[in-house]
Amino acid sequence: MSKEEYNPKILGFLCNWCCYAAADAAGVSRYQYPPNLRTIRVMCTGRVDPAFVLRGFVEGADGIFTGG
Amino acid sequence: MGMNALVFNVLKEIGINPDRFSLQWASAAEAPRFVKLITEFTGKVKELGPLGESEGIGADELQTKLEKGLAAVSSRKVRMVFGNTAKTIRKEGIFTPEYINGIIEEKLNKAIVGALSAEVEEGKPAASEKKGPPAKQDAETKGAQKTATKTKPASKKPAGKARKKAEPAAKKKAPTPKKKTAAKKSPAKKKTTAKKK
Repeated sequence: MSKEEYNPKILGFLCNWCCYAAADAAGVSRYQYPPNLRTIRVMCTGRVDPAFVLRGFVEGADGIFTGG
Repeated sequence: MGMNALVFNVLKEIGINPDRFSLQWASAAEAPRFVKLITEFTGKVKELGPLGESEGIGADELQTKLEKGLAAVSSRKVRMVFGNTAKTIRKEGIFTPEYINGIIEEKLNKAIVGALSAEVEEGKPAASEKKGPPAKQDAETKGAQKTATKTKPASKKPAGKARKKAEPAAKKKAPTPKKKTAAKKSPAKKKTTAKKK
């Protein structure tokens, strides 16, 4: 598999008030960004537990992005 | 920040590239910054390839390692040490990333390595399914009768507590409606007396 074809699965924990809103704004203002991100909205980045991240890797994510 | 450092340490111990995890900040007004962060991170993960490829770990080994890591992170000891470290960071009042990463690595490394190695001794099923199966195995070896006697008092105690809790709650609730009814009745009586006068 060439690297161009390969689409990584990226899990994103996005804060409702910061990164989630930023992602929404990016969509509204038509910025282009890679569609590999699978978003989970959390009400605060402080809610994200180390166990969530490792569970994400267990379930098959290639990379995990946490956005506050 | 502390969570970040803990995850980095665990990933290092398991043998996974810590670059696969990132913690970044972008405010609601910073859409261009968010786009930049996501494109950068996606590019980085694309370069690394699928999980385990750049690390040179097979799929089965990777799964067991990750589950070990998950169990280690969920273990009581690691969580306790993590909480205490967070407290000391708050007391010191130094919140630079270097200091936090350093202190977490220093204080948690032992606990993480201990948690990871403890599960190796217990065996793979214990690591994947946590505390459930080993307790059952112990019970089987001790004999069915002992477990029966052990389980009975355990089941009675919580029920008794629940009853004790329920009773005062019922007592507390009971007087209040009486007062209300009394209060309702008394103005009515007054009215009747007023009419009589």
